[in-house]
Amino acid sequence: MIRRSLRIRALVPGGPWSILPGGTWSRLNDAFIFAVGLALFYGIIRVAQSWFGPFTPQVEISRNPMALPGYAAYSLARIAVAYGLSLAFTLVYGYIAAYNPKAERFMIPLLDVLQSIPVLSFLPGVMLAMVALSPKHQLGLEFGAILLIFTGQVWNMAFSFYSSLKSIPKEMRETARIFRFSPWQRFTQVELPFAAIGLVWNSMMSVAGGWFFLMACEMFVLGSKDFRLPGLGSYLQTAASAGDKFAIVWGILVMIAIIVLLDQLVWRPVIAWAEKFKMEQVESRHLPHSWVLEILRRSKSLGYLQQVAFVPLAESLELYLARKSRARHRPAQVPKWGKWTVVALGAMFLLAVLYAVGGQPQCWLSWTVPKSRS
Amino acid sequence: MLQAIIEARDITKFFTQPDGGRIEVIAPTDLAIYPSTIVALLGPSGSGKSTLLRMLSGLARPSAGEVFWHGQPLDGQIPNVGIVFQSFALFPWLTVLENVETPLKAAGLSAMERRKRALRMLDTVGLDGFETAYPKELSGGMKQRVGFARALVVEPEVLFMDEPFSSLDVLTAENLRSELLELWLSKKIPTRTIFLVTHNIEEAVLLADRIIVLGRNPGRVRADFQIVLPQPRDRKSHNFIELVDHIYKVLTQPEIEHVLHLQDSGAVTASRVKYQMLPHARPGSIAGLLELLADRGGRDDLYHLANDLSMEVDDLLPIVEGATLLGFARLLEGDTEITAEGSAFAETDILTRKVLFREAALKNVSILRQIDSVLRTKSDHTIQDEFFRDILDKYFSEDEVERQFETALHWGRYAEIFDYDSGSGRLFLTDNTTEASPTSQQSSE
Repeated sequence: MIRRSLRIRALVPGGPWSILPGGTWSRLNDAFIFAVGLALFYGIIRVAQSWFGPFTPQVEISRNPMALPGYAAYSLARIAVAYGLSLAFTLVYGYIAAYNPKAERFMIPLLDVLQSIPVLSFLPGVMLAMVALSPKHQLGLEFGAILLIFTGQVWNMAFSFYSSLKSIPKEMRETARIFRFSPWQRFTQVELPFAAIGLVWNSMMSVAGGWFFLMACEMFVLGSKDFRLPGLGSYLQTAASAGDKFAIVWGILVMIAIIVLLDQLVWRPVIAWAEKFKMEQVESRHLPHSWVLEILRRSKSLGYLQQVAFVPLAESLELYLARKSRARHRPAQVPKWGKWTVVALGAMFLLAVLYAVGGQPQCWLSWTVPKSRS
Repeated sequence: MLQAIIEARDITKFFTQPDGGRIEVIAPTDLAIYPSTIVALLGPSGSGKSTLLRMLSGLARPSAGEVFWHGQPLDGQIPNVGIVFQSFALFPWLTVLENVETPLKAAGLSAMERRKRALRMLDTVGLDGFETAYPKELSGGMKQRVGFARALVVEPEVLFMDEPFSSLDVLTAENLRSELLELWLSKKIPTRTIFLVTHNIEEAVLLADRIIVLGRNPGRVRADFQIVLPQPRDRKSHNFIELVDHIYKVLTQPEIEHVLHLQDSGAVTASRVKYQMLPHARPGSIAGLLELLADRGGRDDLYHLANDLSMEVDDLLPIVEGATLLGFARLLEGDTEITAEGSAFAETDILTRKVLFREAALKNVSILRQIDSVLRTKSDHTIQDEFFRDILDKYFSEDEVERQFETALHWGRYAEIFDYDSGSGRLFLTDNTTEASPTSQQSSE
């Protein structure tokens, strides 16, 4: 029965894919995905090499346009890692704030406060601390930049996730409760899908905001120290201070190209995919489309990978957690570590705030400078 | 006697106010649900039907008392039950098949087993061929079929239904009801008992083997009886009509209320005496009802009235209660009879009506009398609305306070006892020196 209807869906022809005989397009499809995957892999290796390489606070920034693709890749990597951190933080923070009334009372006002602190005021303290943490590798400096981008990205995402969780319809929650969903099933089938649309749009906004901070934190002067990281931001700053109009135009062109590519390769497909999470009663007429999503959906090798690896893995995890949750007699109890997580998070934030207030550049310099002399 | 599946002993639900007072939503109630029956829970809005359902199903804990499941205390756990909601509560991001599979996944069944069971259940409820559709592609009736399939696929001992047909159009609801009944009678659905919450009296009489009628403020069982009419039931049969009429009578029987008589100063004692509850009816609706009654010789059957106005009991009852509260009508064994004051009101013009309404309201409605006297004692004849909300807060839940206040506003403004500026939230005395004179009324506004 089910096989019949599935096949009908798969046979529906669409777009340019119906013009050519099936095999050619599907092979081209896979080749494209493979090429993109390879490029990504290469980029990650190169970035990792640089990050784990020796500590060089002043990388010489070339104004040659040929260096731009590499710089763009470094900048993208910073934004991507910062975004990944933001997402992880968002899920944990939003979840605790939404379900722990005690924690909610201070976590949400705290979010408001943190949101309104200008990111650039953190810059000196964070940078010096990160460099101190990892003085041998470039990683420290890189991580400082990433952390700053993170603080510019994370708050609106956390708030969006929290308020989505808070507005899940009562009856949907009750459905999950009456059928005794495991916490994991509730998360993957109710909470995360419900929050998806808000998370997607806030992610776009956050990443866009990340570009702004990138400019500032790739190149800056602290007292007598001059820090430079290879990237689009430092390229543009170097070009601007040298008055090199040719380089500026090239830098801006590459930046626009990156933004368009990100939109086409990442955001469009994600928006088109997230369409199904809309809480609407009837189907809307204008559905967002994405050619990348089409390619991914039609890819045979990805489909095979999903069937062989992803689906069975997710399935066994889900079943394991469901059975474990059923076996427990009292699922309603809050686990003990939940409380400690809240305490630990609170302490971390307090420290972070103290650190931001107390960690002004002068006092940091006065601590670090004599050390470096000796 | 059969062993009860669910037994509630002395369960009650109340909310504790910040000042330590309690608002009772459900008065202490005993209730037992037996196998092989369809139980219908009927009651006007605000009688706590859904709250009772949630306590019996384990979704909500009673404030006091205990629910037993096969003799074992439930104690915060969810027993083997299924639930169907008025709003369907389907997951829009999952296909029909995936929606029906979710409870099975929660039960830890393997993929093959889940698919097999879900397909079988979709077949039973008539959704064959819609497996890969998303809920938003389906009509309301089809969505509720998915709701039924999802609830039944776990083979629940008790199927709870919270107004499952209320959001469907009349024909779809009728169709779905009869299909459900047919499946139940031919024992095709794997559940031992159905517990249905509804405000539709005919629906209850059509489906149920046992009807429990709830009263409100606080919610409590007012009647509990078996229905022995053979299935399928004929809406036009004498017995059916008799039964529906009887339930109307039960629902409208005057309840003894201990109305708090307030001092003219407007001071309220802290005692927890029950406060007069305004039925949520607009003055215009009350006038309409009285006109209709006057046309029909002053007395009519409630069931007829509801039918002729094509109103459900939930909508009609507050209007009848409003007319009764004002002394314009009275209830006699399920009939509504217009009083002398009511006739006078129905037969006069709009301005005199306002005067009559004002007299009746000040005589019978404590909150309006209270507002009037407070406004008169104050030198500037105006007061913040918070003052009255605070008074109501002591007796009603948060939502009910809003509704009570809104109704009081409608009535008070209609009767020209006071006026209200929603911007500043202030009540002020209407200029009554030239009462009921249309020209000066206009000039004062």
